[in-house]
Amino acid sequence: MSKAEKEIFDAAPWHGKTKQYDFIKEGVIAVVVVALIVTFFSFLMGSPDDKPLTFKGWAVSNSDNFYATTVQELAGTSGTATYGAPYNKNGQGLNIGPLWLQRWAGVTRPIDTVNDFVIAPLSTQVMSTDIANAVSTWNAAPVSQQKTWATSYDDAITKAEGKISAVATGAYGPVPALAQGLTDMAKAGALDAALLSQGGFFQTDNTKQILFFGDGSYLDDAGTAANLQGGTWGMMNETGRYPGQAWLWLYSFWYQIPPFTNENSKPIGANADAYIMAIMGVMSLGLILIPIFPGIKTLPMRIPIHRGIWSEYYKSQGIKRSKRR
Amino acid sequence: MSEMWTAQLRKKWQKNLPIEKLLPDNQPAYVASWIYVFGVLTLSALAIIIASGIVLAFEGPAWYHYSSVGKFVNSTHFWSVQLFFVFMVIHLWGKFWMAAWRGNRMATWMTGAVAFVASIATAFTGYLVQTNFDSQWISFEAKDGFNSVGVGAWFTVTNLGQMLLLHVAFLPLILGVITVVHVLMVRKRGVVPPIDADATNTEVRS
Amino acid sequence: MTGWIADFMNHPATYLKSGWVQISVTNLIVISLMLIIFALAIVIPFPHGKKRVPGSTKETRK
Repeated sequence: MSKAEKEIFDAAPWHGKTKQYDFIKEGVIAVVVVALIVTFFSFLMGSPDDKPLTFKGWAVSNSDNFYATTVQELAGTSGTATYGAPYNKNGQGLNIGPLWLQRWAGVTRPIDTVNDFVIAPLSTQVMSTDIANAVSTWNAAPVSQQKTWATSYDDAITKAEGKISAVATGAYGPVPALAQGLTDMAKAGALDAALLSQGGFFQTDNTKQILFFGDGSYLDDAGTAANLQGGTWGMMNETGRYPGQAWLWLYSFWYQIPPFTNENSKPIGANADAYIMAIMGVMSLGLILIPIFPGIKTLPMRIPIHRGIWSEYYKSQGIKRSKRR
Repeated sequence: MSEMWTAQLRKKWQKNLPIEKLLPDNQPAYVASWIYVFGVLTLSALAIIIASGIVLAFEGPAWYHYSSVGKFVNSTHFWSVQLFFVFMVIHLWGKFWMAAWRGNRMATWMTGAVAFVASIATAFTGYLVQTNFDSQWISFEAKDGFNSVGVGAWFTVTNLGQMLLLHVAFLPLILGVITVVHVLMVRKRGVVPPIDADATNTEVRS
Repeated sequence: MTGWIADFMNHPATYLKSGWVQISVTNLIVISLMLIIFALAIVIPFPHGKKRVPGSTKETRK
C-alpha cells in the first residue's frame, strides 16, 4: 500500500473487527475513580497555602531594608521606579532586536513611586507634626531639590551597606523623616490597606502593593528560602513538599543556561525574559503543528512504541512491522 | 430556491455526527490498550476541577483559607489539577506515539495541543488567585515575562480582580469550548487505526 | 481538613542537585510515576471486551 492509499485507509470509517463498548459506563467509572483519588490525596496531604507576606512583617523583621527601600522610592532608584512600561517612562524595557514591544505597549499602569508609595499613604494618616512638616516641606520643594535630597541619602545608605544607624549625616531634607514615618506606618500594619485603597472604596488591584514589596529584599528572601527563584528551576516548584508545576519544565529550562543566565550579556542575556517568551511561543506553535514536520511526524513509525500499544491486534491479525517509514 | 439554512445544518450534522457516533456502543477491535483511558481520565479530572472550582467560587476567596471544609475543597481543586496535567500529558505521549493525526485527524491533534496550552494559561491564572504567599511571588516574577513582550500592558498579573475573573469565567469557557470541539472531532473521525494496519491485512467485519 | 500528613508536607522540600540541574524530590516522583504509568499502560494487556453482537446497532445493517 502506498503512502497515499494508507492515508485514505486511515481516514475511512473502520470496516474491520469491532467489539462492544459502553461509552457512558466508562465515563462514569473514570469520574468515580478520579474523585476517589482526589479525595484520598486531599484528606491525606491537604494543599499548599503559605500565608501571604505583609508590609508589617517586612518592616518589623527588617526595618532597615524597608526604610532603605522607601528612600529608593523617593529617589527614583528602586526597581519599580526604573522599570519602564507599563508603569512609567524611566526605563527602555526589553527588546528582541528591533522589536521594543514592552516600550511600544505604553504606560498603561502608571505608577509614581514617590506619591503612590510614600507621600499619599503617609497623607492618609493622622500625621504627627514632624511627619506633617516633612510632607509639606517635600511638596513645597521643586522636583530637582527633592531628587537631590533623596539620591544623596540613597547613596549614603548604600555606602553604609544598608545599616541605617551607620549612615553619615548630610543634607537630606525631609527624606529621613518621611522614610521613618512610612516605616512606623508599616510596622503598625496600616500600610497594606493604605496602598490598596488609594483612589476609592472598592479596590481589587494589588499592583502597587506587589511592586513596592518586590523592591526590597523581604519578598526576594522568602522566594529564595522556598526555592522559587527562576535561576534554580523555581518556576516548577511549589511551597513545601507539594508537587509543583512539572509542565513548566521547558519554560523554566531556558533560565538555567547561558546566555540567558547572564543578565549583562547583550543582546540575549539582558533581554532574557523577552527572548524566552518568544522561544516558548514558537515551541508551543511547534507542538500544535507537529503533524506537518517531516522527521518528527515519522518518529512514531521509526520508534515503534505502537507495536506495544496495538500488540494484541497485530498478533490476532498476523500484522508484521510495516516497511513503510 | 436554495435549501433552508436550518435544514442544511441539520443534514450536515446528521451526516457527520449522528447520534450513533456521539453515543457509540462498539468500537474498533484495536482499541484495546490501557493507554486509551487517559483521554477520559483527563476529562474526568477536568470535571472535578470545575465542580470544586464552582464550590470555591460560591464561597468566595477567603473561605478556603479559614474553614476546614474550605481548605478541603481547596485541596480537591489542587489535586484534581495535578491529576489533570498528569493524565493529559500521558494522553499526549500516547497520541504522539500512535501518530494519531493520521487519516485526516490533524485538526484533532491541533485542538488537543491548543487545549494543553490553554490549560496551562488557565492554571496559571489559578495560581495567581490563591491569595497566599505563592500568588505574591508568582505575580511579582511573572509580570516581567509578560511586560517584556508588551502583553503586560493589558494582562496585569498583579491585578487580582482581573486574574480572578479570567480564571473563573473567561478562560474556563474558552478551554471548555476547545475541549468540546476536540472530543467531537474524535467522535466524528473515530479512533485512528494502527500504524501497521492497512486494507491488505485488516479482517473485514464478519 | 488540613490533612493527616499536612505537617510533613508543609516543610521545605528536599532538592536533588547535579550541576545546573535541580529538582525537588516530589516533582521527581511525579515525573517518574508518569513515565512508569505510561510504560505500564502500553505493556499491560487490556481485558478482552465482549465481541460485538451482530445486529445490535444500526451500523451493522450495511
